Amino acid sequence: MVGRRTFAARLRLALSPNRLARRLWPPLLFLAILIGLWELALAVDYVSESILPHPKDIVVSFAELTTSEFVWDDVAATLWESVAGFALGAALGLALAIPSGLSPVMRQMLNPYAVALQVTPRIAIAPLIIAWAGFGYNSKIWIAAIIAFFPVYVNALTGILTVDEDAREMFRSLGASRWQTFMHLMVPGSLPVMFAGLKTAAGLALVGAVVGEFISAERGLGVLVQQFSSQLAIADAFAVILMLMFLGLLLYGTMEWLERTTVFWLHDARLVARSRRRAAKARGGRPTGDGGVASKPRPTLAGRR
Amino acid sequence: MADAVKQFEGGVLAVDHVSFEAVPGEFVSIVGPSGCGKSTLLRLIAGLIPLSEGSISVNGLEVTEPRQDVALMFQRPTLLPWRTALQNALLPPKLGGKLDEAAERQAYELLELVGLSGFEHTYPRHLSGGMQQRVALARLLMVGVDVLLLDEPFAAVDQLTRERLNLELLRVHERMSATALLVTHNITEAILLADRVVVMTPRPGRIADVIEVPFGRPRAQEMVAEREFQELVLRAYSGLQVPLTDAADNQQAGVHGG
Repeated sequence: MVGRRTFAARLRLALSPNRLARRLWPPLLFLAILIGLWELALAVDYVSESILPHPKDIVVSFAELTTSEFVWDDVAATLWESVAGFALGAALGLALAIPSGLSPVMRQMLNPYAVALQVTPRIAIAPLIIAWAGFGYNSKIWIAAIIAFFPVYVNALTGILTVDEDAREMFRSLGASRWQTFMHLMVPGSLPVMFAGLKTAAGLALVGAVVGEFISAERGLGVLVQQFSSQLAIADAFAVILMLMFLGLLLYGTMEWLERTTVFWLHDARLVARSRRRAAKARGGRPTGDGGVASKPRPTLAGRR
Repeated sequence: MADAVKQFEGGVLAVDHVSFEAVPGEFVSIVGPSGCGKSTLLRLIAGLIPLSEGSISVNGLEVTEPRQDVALMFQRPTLLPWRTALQNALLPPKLGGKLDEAAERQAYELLELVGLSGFEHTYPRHLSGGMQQRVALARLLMVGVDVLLLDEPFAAVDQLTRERLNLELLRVHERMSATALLVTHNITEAILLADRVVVMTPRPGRIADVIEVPFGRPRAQEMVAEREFQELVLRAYSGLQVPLTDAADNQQAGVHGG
């Protein structure tokens, strides 16, 4: 009955003090232990403060960084490089996975190179790409794309190849064309696996962008980390890493949300809500009289298992 | 079907010179042990795989490819999880480019016929195994065919549900003019549902016996307890060429456990 609650009601429930307390204490406890050990190491001079700053210094640095004027240009640069790189890599991955999935010859043609690209440490290609595409955004976008490409390709291909054999036979027996089978069976059928690849790729694109910035760039959070580290401004470097974490979370969260809306049939609450919407729409739009639509599921003989 | 032979690549002879004919509107069961080529036979009739020798005709036309007047129901419901029960039932007209209001009305009626009214807009994930198979049945009936091919359609649901679904299937069949061909390894089920039972031998599949079922309609589950019914069961077993001591066990399994 989750679907009956409105979004606001569910949000209220999720944020209710009781529920929050129950869900938050384990990770918070771990954080407290970690900070305790950290402070202990500093207190007994196991590490020097110039190498490992106090956690509170990192928080201060983070606050200063977010209120500074220059950092948002760097955030925008890294975000743009990863998003554009992800989009490019995902587009390439899908563009190659679809013909590979449909034609065995294409598969034989492409697979060895896809695997070769995967086993090569692609970071080694990064300096080359910078030599080719220059020091600007484009080179980082390409580096991010090359790293993001593989999981999308492999997962989309797997998705297409593992489409239910019986369903295929059913489509064939119904006289479906190849195009119809592709659009109505293979595309939706491969979405769940494909999204697993897209989620991995989104994270990897950020890695690619930062690595590209390490090698050579004028802007970006990767540049900042490097600058702060070389100046031994460790707290500031940690603050930038925190920012990168939030950037990663943003990308992952977006993909997660996209997955939930696209592959709705794997999520119970969404399914219930959709069923209800469809039933309501049918009640409104259909002439009455033949009793085809009941307002509530009737637990008749059909309900028994 | 005349002298049908199917030999798979690699030499496995699945169907060996099988010939029989079904009268329009008749309900025929094909019963045989596992691997006797029953499923292969249905796929041949559906035109999903090519024949090695002989010929198969439906409505006087030879079968060479999947046809719109023959529909095959699979062992698993094979519903599309992203489509509601109604949308799944509407798949045949959608793929055929004939998705209109009349088709939709028919889909509602068929879902009601298979006992699913109220569940039209539910997604397969929220339907039980038996209900999913009912949707598959409604989808099959949407094709509006002359020949229904049923490949152990309720193998995936429990015995009680299966018995009820079988009788419902019979009720649905009686309201249509279609010929039904049911493949099963359950002798009780084969006899209870059919006008005629074709008994097949183990590989290679040959016809051992054809049993006319004298019972009238409608059929009821209780009929399996009748003496005449039991005699038919025994006759079917002798056709299956299973050793008699095993046969007694199998019969028990057939009646109680499937």
